[in-house]
Amino acid sequence: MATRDPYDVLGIKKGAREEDIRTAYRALAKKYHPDLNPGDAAAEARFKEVQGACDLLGDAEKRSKFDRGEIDASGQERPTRQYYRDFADGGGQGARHYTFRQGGAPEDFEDLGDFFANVFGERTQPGGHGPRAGAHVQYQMNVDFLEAVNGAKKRVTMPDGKALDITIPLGAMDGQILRLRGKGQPGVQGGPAGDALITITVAPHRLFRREGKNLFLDLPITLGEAVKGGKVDVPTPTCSVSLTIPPGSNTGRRLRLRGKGVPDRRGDGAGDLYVTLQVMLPDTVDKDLAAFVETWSTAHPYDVRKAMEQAS
Amino acid sequence: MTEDEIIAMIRQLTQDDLATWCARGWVQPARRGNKMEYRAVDVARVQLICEMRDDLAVNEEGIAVVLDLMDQLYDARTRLRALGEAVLDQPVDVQRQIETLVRNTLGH
Repeated sequence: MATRDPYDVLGIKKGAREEDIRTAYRALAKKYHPDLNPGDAAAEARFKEVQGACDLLGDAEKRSKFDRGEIDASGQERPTRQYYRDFADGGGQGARHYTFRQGGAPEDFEDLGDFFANVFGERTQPGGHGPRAGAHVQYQMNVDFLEAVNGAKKRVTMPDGKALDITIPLGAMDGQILRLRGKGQPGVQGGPAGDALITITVAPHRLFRREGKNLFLDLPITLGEAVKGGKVDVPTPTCSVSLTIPPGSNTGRRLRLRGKGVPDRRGDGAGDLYVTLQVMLPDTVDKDLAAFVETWSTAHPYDVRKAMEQAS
Repeated sequence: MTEDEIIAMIRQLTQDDLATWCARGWVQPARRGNKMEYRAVDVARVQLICEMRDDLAVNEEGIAVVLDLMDQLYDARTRLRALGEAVLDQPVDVQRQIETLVRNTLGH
């Protein structure tokens, strides 16, 4: 490929100032950066051309040599490299894991089914003839916390009186959309029926709190259990398990029950259940306890608010 | 590629840059033992961020916005491609129907 005149490439005049070169380069590089033009195969060639022109004209020495005709514009092309789009736009795994979102907003589309639902769900009715697919119908459904965690089957009655069996998948999330193929409006002139799109709302739980795949639970323990340690029964989403409390466990200590959080339907590991201990005094402090603590605390004073004084 | 190798390879890149970008989630290298492993995709992404900052004069906030939109764009393109491939697996008359519907919806 014949190398174009670098001044033409950047769209500037021979006598342009260094600043103009930089400005022209920035504008063109922004326009043609291959990673910002995934669908444009020619962008890479244009970008390299612009980079080459800038490498030559941006360097005062090379530029004056070029202006005097001592060197030509060839050989300015940078070596071939791999752009981000080569990974992200390959259709394979590549950069699929990169969903950097500012503020950590959730992914809109959990899977291709949801993508269909969102792309085609709100379409306007085309004016064409012939068979057409029926419209999608949107529903909202409330689901118990544990039904969402463990998965469940539910039967609901639709507005038209028909019963519909719905499978809540393991680890379903609040706001997730379930799609039931063909359960929407019937098609026109033999076209396929639309889908039922069910947005699920997960109710909070009395004991568990959920963050992604992990569950959190506050566990009250007695003074004796806190001091001496021991085994206590802890509820999990599926059953109750025995948890060993180490001797001398304070309020706020967090213990982890590995794999007892939200099960994972893709099989790459269930979440964990985090248990935060809360030491509880008995409902009434009797004479024995009061007398013991009186004697003990006089002999063993300790400061639990040292850190607070330092902070003020 | 290790952290040292990527810093050696990309001229404008400092250790601080890399640490900041990783902390912000702009770059997400794989963890191998207690070291970070920069795969080819991570290197390409670091290179892009360097170019945005040094060549294109995009400021920090701008880079965050570009990356966010770019990730959404590539994600949408990947899904669209999968959709296109699914359409191509259909019988020809079904393909025609879909094409007609899409054209009607887009209005051309």
